[in-house]
Amino acid sequence: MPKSLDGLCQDTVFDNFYKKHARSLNNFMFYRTGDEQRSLDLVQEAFIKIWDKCSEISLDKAKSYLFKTANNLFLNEVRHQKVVLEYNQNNPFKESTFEDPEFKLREKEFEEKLQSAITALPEGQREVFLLNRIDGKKYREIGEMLEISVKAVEKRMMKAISKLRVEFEHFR
Amino acid sequence: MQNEKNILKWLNGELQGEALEKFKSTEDFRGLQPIMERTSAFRKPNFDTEKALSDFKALRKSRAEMKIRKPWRAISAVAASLLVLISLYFIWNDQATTINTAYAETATVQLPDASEVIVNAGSTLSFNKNKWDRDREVTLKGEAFFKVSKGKKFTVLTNQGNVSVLGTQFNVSERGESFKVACFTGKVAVEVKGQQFILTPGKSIAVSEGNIGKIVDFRETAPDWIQNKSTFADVPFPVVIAELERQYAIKVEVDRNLLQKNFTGAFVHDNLELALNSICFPLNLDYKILNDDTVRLYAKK
Repeated sequence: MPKSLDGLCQDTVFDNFYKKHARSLNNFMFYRTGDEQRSLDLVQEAFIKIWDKCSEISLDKAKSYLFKTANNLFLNEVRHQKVVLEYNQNNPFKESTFEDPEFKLREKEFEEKLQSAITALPEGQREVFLLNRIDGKKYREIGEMLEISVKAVEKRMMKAISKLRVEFEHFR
Repeated sequence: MQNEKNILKWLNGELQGEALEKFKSTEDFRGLQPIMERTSAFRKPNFDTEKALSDFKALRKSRAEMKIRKPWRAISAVAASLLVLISLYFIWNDQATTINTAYAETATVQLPDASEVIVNAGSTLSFNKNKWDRDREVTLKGEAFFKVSKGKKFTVLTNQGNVSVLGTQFNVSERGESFKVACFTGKVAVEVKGQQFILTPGKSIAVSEGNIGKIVDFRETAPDWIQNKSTFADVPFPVVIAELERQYAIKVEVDRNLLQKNFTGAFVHDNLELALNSICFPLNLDYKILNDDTVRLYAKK
C-alpha cells in the first residue's frame, strides 16, 4: 500500500477518522433520506471510497471529501423518500403525567403538525434546520459539511423558520 | 418577523445576557420557542459508532476479496450467460404448440404447411413448429379431422396406434379404449400393434378394447361431428355417453346395468333434448334433465 500523506491509510488513523465523523455524517444523511438503513449504507459506502483513495487524500481535506462523497452517493440514488421523524422515548413534552386530557390532545396535535411541516420542507432547508436543532451544529459547521457559506446556511435557516412560523400562526 | 438577525443568533447560541432577555420578551420568541423546543426533542437516528466501525471493516474486507476474485467472476458470468442462451435455444427449438379443446368446443388449426386439422371437443393436439420441415408429425389425444396437403409423410401419433399419409382427408378418433380411423380421400396407412392396414376413400377401421375390427365402408363425405352430429354403429354405451358429455359439457348419470348395452344411431350437437331422445328411443330408456349440467338416464318403467 502506498504511503499516505498523513497516514490515513494506517488503520489507527483511519479508525479515529471514522469514529470522529461517522455519527454526524449518519445524522446528516438521515435528515436527507429519512431512512436509517439507507443513511447507514451511504455512510459505509462513503468511507469505503475514502479508504480506497486514502493514499491520495490528506487528513485535513478528508472530512470535506467524505461529506462530498456521501452527498454524491445520495444524489446518485434515484429513489428519494419522505423524511419522517419520530419523537424521543423520553420526550419531555410527553412525560408530563398530571396534565389534563385536553392539553395532551393539543400537545399531540402540535407534534403531528410539526412532523408534517418539517417533512414538507425542501431538502436543503430541512437538513440545515435539523442539523442545527437536533444535532446542535453551529452555522459554520453546517456550512463546512455542505460546502456552502455561512450566509447561505443562514438564508436556508431563515426560510425554514418562516415556513414553520406560518404553519403555526393560528395554532394557539 | 421583525428581528431576523436576533432569531438566527438565538438559534446559533450567540444571544446572551441582556440581549437574550430582551429577545425573550418579543412576539417572535413566543411564537417560535415552542416549535424550536419540540424540534429539539425529535429522536436522533440510532447510531452505534463501534458497531458501525466493525461492520465497516467487515464490508471493506469482503469488497477487497471481491476485487481479487473479479477475473473469475467475469469468466463465470460469461460462461453462465452462454449456458442460458444455449438452453434457451434448445427450449425454444423443442417447444411444442398444443391445442386443447374444452367440452362442447371444437377448434380449427392451421399447421405450418397448408394442412388443416379440426379438433373435436375434449381433445388435445400438439405439434412442433420448428421440426415441421423434417417431420410432419402431430400427437393426438381424442378426436380430430385432418386435411393434409401433399408433401412428405404426415404422421398422427396416438397412444393406441399411428396413422401416416402423404396427402388426404381422414378422421382419427382415440377415446379411452376405442380407436377409429376413417379415410375420406387419398390413402391412409394405420398401424396398430405392429399390424398395418391401408384405408382407401370410404373405408374405416375401428379398434375397441384391443380388438381390431374389420375394415368397413361408410358413406359420409366428412365426419359426422363436423356436420354437428355423432353417429355410432354397434358401439358400447359408455363410449356414446362419453361423447354426449363432451359435446354438451354435461354430466350424464346412468344405471350401471345399462352400460352393458351397445348403441347404433346418431345424436345432434345443438339440441340436447333431441339428442337425448335419439339415444333413449332405440334403447327404450327415459331421461330427466336434473339441472344445467346433469342429466339422468334410466330404463322405462
